[in-house]
Amino acid sequence: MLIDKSHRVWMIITIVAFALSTFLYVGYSTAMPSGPSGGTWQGLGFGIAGSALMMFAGLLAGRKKLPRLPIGTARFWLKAHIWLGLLSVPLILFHAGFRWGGPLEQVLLFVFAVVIASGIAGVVFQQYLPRVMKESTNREAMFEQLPHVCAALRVTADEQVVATCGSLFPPADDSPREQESLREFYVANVRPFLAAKIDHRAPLLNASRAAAVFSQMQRAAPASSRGTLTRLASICDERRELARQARLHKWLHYWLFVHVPLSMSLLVLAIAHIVASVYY
Amino acid sequence: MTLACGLVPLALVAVFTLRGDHTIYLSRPVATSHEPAQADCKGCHRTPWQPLVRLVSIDNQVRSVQDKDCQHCHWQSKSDHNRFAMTKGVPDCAVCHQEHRGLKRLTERADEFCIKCHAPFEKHPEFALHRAWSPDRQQTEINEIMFRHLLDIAEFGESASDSRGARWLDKTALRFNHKDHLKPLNAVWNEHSDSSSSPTTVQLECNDCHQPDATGSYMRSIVFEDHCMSCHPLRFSSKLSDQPLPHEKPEIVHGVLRDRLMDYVRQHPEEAIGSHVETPSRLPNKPSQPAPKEVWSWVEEELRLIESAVFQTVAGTGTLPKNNACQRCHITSGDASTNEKGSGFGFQIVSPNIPTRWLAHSRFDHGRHRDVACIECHHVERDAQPLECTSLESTSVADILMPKLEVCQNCHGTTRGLPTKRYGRKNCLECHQYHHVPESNAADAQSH
Repeated sequence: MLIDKSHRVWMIITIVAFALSTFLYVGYSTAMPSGPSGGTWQGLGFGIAGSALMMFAGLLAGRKKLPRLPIGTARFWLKAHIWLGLLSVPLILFHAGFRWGGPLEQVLLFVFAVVIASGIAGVVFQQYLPRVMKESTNREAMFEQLPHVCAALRVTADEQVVATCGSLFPPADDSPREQESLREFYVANVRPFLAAKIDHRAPLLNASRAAAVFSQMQRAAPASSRGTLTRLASICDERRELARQARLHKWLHYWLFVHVPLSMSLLVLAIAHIVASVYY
Repeated sequence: MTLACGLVPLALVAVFTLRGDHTIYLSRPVATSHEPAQADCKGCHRTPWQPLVRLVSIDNQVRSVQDKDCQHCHWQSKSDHNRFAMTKGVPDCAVCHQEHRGLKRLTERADEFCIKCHAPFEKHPEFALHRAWSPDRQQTEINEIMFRHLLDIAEFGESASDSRGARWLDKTALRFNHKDHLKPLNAVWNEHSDSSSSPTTVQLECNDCHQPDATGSYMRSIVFEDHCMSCHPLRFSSKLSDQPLPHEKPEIVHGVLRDRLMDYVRQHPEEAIGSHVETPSRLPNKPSQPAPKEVWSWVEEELRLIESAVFQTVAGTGTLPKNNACQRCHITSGDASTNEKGSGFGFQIVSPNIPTRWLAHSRFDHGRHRDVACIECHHVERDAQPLECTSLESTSVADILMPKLEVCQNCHGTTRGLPTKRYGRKNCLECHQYHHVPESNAADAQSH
């Protein structure tokens, strides 16, 4: 979701609520002889408000499972998730009195911090990465289709090399062949680069280094191989763009693997903390 | 993966809770003395759901741990705080002794809490015994109670012996002069010497009379036999010079004198024979004995002579007895020679009532101040310069030699006026004791 003008109202509401809660906290903390505490009724109020906002933010997952219910659009829920989730941060800090607390509270705060940080990272990624993907990659494919696309590129490259060198395998006899350097170069460097998974140290992954390698091969190879080398360079460019697209896609989505599971942990720990604190 | 991230913490919490180990729920470490019980929250939090009640009632006075929970183990109560009425209400145990604050001892109380209601040490009011007072001036409730205590041991007015104006004066009914006692080379009688021997001379120091008690905090009461008799032996007769009189009420002294004179005349019958009719002895080789009537007459005469010295009354004459007669030190009433009712003893000693404590609502440890000279704190004002340390010049028992607040602030505060820098703490609890300790729990109080 992009943070655009449609978020203005939410932003204002969040800022006003933050200012009001800060004002209340300052007044309450200075009035308390022993400082703010989560156990006072004011501290409990902040805790309940923060927890309620966290719980509401967690309901986004349920909302996605029930798209037909007339309880607001997905965009509305996502905006509420973002802004109310952010607002829960100062409320929880006010509840804690800016203290770490005991073992359970410390784990809770740590998990809470990671969840919030991952959520903010996700919003930032979603704000900038799609544009980067669009500007930096001319050729795109659906992320789930990337292995198939890579396989197709490899088949095409194999055909080009076989047509030039006759075979991808070394010759049976030791007689020198004119295209042997091309075949060896393709088998050792290019073909592995066209696989679905690339070694991050592969020299062809870097565009300038790949250009230098191909340039060197062009000078050393016989004239009959130069056309094939040019086509292989183009295929490698396409593969490089697909790799970049995959990497950006992971950044765009994998933060959820941190955010969502830890949210579940946060929920469980928060319930344990609430029950114990309110009982004792 | 989401499910696993939910089940793992749930399992951990369940394991700890089912084992009865609630340490994971501790908001912060408990005090050292409570550590053995910290795994079981119910040891102190005996009433459940109090935070919820506190939230619903919007009242922080609803405590998770109530006073009755503390009193399962502790004898103190909030009624000890300032026996006098508190206008703002007396705080509960948990208000001052806040657990889960990481304090090693719950008695460690930062002043930030106290000074929410009370002044910090820099703005501490002057000690009451150095403040002006007037029965006509309306006092606050607290001041009236404090002055009421002070009026038991002091009176506010002008001293006839100096021109320092109205001030608090010690009401002790004694005649005593610090200056005379601390001047060089006072005479001291050895307790085994008689009246004919010469006294030795000594230079008295403060601690010759003012000695610390068993705790070392305060001074023992002045006891005549321990602190005065060596210089003021109660010997008034050469006949009884080896037996000082007891330091007792006049009627007791009277009886003791009579008994000793009777013993003396039995041992020295010739004293009574010289002026009276001799009774012939019925036994051979036995000296004649004085008749009982003559013995009594002699004893009564000697008694009268001795008591005229002991109980001499010179009050109002502007002079003091030259010997160790009662009136040398004591304020008296009546006259030994008068007997208005025909029986009993007319000469009465006004009870001295030497105060044992001046600042009764504080605590002080002389032992911790042993490197401070007595006169640095205990002085009398001269010419409105209180820090001249002129306690050696006090000539009247009416002088209250207790220090002013600024003397304490020299070390326990920010003034640092002394040339040698001493840095004492200025926490409220350094001097003020919240819980008034009964004597039976004095040992417990020492641990505070």
